[in-house]
Amino acid sequence: MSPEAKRAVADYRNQLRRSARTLPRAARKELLAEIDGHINEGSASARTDAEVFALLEDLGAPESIVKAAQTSAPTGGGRTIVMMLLLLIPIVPFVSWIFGASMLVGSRLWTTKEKALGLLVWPGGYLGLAEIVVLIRNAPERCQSIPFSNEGSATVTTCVSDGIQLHGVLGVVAFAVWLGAPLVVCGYLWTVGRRRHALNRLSADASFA
Amino acid sequence: MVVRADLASQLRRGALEYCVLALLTSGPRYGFDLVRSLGATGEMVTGEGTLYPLLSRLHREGLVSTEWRDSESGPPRKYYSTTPQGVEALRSFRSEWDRFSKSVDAILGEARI
Repeated sequence: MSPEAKRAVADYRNQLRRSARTLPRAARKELLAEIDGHINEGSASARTDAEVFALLEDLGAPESIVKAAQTSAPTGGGRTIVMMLLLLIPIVPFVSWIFGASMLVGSRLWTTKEKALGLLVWPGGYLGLAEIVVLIRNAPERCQSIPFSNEGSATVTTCVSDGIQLHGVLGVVAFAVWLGAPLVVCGYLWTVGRRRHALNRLSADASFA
Repeated sequence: MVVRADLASQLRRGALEYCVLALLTSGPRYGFDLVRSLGATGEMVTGEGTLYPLLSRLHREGLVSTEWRDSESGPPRKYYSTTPQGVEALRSFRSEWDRFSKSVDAILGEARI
């Protein structure tokens, strides 16, 4: 290979590395290794500089390769499940939620409104819910006995509470909403995310044109 | 009206991954060889490099499996083979494609242009 061809290969690799900075680490490493392998394999069998230049031209613009990798990189599936589990279950109080929330905010699958919805419903996930339940259960009652009349020992006892008290149907409904709302929101984000993920994949394949 | 380049891209879009699976039915092939074969057809790909992310996706989806094998002329090569799911996906595509292309051919055959 002439110095000119070597420079062309080095330039191509540098350009690819620069463009690939936007990719997740694992996807970037895999892509760079694949393309490096392709160039090594092709240039080893190239007899002339023209064949090396043709090899690079056939590979296509580094930007378009990175674009194809971006849209076909795993953004839904496992990543989305992890995000939702982190949002819902306080494995480590608040810290789990912060990780889940940053995954949600950093994702390209959801719009700003959808991200806000995911963050606003029960900040802290079920930790927030658990706190509400504790607050209800531990609502301290202050009772006071007042003599019923001036005669005898009969008294009337009245109790007041500083906590929230929910009884009967209202309590059951409120509990169902608390429990169900995060699941409904996560289910909605999941459906929307999966649909967009599939669309992204289609447009990734379109970039082969 | 769809311009010609877009038309080719749309036709290619759905078929490309099945062409990869079809090329693998004759046996395992390494990435460079597979990509060059697809590129050589001229119609299927314009940037060979974009096939690597596609191969990676097919692997993630379980339609192909990979294996590193030693090479006589250089570093080890990553070989791709179809999995039973890949063969099944190709079979479904083929029957769908046969019906689809026959319908289009029949209609185009009657067109007076």
